[in-house]
Amino acid sequence: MNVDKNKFVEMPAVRLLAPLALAVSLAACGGGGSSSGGGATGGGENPVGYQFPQDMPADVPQQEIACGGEDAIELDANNITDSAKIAFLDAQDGDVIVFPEGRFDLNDTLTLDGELGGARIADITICGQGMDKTILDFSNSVGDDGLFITNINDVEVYGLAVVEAANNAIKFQHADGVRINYTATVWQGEPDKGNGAYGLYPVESSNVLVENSYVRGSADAGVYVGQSQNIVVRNNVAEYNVAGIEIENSTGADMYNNIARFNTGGLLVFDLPIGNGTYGSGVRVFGNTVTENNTKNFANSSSNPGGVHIVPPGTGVIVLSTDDVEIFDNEIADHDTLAVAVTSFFIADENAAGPDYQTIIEDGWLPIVRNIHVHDNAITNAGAAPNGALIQEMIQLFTLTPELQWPGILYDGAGEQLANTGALMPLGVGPYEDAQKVCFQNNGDTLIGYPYDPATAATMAGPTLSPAVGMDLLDCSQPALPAATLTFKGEQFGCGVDDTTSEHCKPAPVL
Amino acid sequence: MKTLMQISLLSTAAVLVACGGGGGSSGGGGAGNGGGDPVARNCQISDSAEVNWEALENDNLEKLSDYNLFASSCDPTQDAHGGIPYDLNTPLFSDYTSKYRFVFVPDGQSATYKENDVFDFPVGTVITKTFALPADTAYRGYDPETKTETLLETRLLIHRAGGWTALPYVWNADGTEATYRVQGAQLPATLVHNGAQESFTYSVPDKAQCKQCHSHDTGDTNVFIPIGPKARHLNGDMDYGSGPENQLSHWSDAGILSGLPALDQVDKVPSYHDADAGLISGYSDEQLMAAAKGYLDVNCSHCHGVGGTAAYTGLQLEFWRDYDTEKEKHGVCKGPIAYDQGEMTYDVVPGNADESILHFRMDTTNPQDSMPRLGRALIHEEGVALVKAWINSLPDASCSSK
Repeated sequence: MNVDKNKFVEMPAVRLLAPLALAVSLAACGGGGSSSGGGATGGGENPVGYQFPQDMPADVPQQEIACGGEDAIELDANNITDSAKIAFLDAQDGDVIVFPEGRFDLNDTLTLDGELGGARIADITICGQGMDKTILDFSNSVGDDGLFITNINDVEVYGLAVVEAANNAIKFQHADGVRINYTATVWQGEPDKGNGAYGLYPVESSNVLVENSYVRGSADAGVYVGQSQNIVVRNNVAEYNVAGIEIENSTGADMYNNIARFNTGGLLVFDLPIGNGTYGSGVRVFGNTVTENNTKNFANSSSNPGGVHIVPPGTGVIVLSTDDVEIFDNEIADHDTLAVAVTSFFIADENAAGPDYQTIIEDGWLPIVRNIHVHDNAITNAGAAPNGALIQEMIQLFTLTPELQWPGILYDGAGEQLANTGALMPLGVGPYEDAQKVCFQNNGDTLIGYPYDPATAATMAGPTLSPAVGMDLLDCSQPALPAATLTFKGEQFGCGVDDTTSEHCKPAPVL
Repeated sequence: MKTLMQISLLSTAAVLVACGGGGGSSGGGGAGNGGGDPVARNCQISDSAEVNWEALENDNLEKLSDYNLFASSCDPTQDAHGGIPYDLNTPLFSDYTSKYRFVFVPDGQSATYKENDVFDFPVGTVITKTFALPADTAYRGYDPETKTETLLETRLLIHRAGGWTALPYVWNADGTEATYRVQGAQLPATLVHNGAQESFTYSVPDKAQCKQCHSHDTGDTNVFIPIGPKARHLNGDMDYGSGPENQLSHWSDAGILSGLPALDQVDKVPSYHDADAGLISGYSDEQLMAAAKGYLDVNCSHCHGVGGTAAYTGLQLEFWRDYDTEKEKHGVCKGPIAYDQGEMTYDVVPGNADESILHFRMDTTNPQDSMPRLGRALIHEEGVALVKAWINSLPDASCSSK
């Protein structure tokens, strides 16, 4: 690396003491833990072999799906791969591409590249007859992804299911304007690391709306929106994935009214050191029902310290090294390990401010969390059987120290303590101001715990272990974050914009 | 060019004989409905040697033969109407298929030499690349009569006024005509390699998949470009009928390449073909480095190189990139950016191929893991052996663990 290492010489070693320092075994995750009941439900009654949840937030199975129209391009049920490929390859502005009802074997990835010749195309609709009626099965495909849609403006996918893709089910890349509606991505059977990585996967995109959809069985995240801006993910059901729904390295996102259950971790907000200048902040997580995310971690192990294989099974909501996150009015119930975890990246890699990260930090990433407000959540039954390789030592610290006990909400505090002591000055981070603090308020009688008290002084050796547990630790508040909004086909979407009926989205009463 | 014309006209007679005799239908492993009774081969022999330039520029014709690029509608491997055949010193691996390449440059025009990048071909240029499936890789060479190889597909890369475009043509089972299939195709295939039979699905890429490799990011947009015709890959000999001749010199002499410097100024990827795998143990470290870098260049660097779709991963494998000063770009002790599926930590661990992700992803056919992502259903044993030997030859270095 040709980088100036001198800049980092003067800072104290940002190394964590035990217990975190022992948590380096990233390879073996998913130890123990009560896996959630049920596993796979095959759904024999359903004519196409899948049974969708009857409790979709927006009544999806009953929803009339209108897909077609006079000028629509109807695909050939007897030759689905070829006819879909031709329609995708020939797509022109305004096309509506219609998959018929039925279960279809696809033998290759369906790629829609909007810049195959000339100007980027816009306003493309790809639809089926309902997520339980139009099933695109990629079990026998030679391709890695199911659908891959790229270089396009305003593309909508609705009313179909993509199942058993080798890698990702539906990937969008370099798209401005993505709407995914009434769509399912499914890997059936017991959770397995051989399942595909992401279900609904918009990446490097902007103006992304994912709603009323169902994601199941991903060996990474069911819904993953990464390196994107202006994002709303609402009214979806995510179950039996490693991560239910994940917003990563993205800005301006609302995740609301979703159901995340039976995953390893329910809802994730991550900002990872990826080195391409795209880092995340500004995420609201509210009104979600997050329950029983106790499935063992079945992700592929990985050398990436921030990969989802580190997610401790039994975790409801996780914020990892992301600034400006507001988590409120969620129902978070029945988690073996934690209802909410807020952590710096030091928990994933104790050397996260060290020389290996220097170029990434110069690129704009920081390993810390700032301005986090976790408030007014209804939390029940959290932390009865904590587990997870990453936090084994921390679990022991809390459970074996007489005056401590394992909390339902955990904040690592390491980054803030280091910052408050001036240890992160070389990174350009001084002591946390009020507006940067991590705050917990009105989360019922849930215990909050941290291993590193932000108010304790770190030393040249690293942060000072100073654990505490209590119901009113870090009791402060932060101003509400603005709603995320997006533009799709010239229309505005978002909570309080197109959605004015959900509990949190009604217009303010006129006084 | 004139000489070539004559050759192609002369050999027309021979092709007529071959085609008129009712060669057998395609043998096992080919596409579609081959087998069964012998079918009279219906080869069309063009009575004009004039390429249909206008159609190439404007239209995606249904039949390959309608462009009149070759003397016989049955044989895209020889007798091109003015097209010059070429090979790459080390070819991209495509499931052990044989490849037959021609470049057609409009009369009076020429491509501009580039030191490192693909040549700058004039509008109107057509590159044809035909893929044929050998029944046994020990016996290569297309012969319309003996059918030791079965024609699979012919790809046209055409430099039209609006930019390069790719047109895939898929051959019928009899090998008498190729038809435009924008959607590509999945062809059941069987071949024998080193005495072992391999059955697999050969993928003809669709047009969007073509672009995933044939893509160059210019900063503003991704443009479609050819991959193979770079100086370092063409800098080798071919026999055009009068003994071995350097391809670049031949192109220059034929007037289709301008600006060619003295050959000793031109970079050269060493030749590495499957038969060379047996020689690896005798390679010096220097030879291994050159052969492996050449192989990685032609197989990987169109994506894993500056401007490629996988440049962002930090793995950049152009042949011209200096290993000693840019080890990390070669994957040495570099963690993956976009790969989260395995327990290995680094793309390349010097001295330890078995712990290197680069080697692992070449040595698998699992779609989640395999590289390249497109166009490979089989493991290239000889390529893997080369890269393995190269990694193992690198001086041991312990990559510091994060």
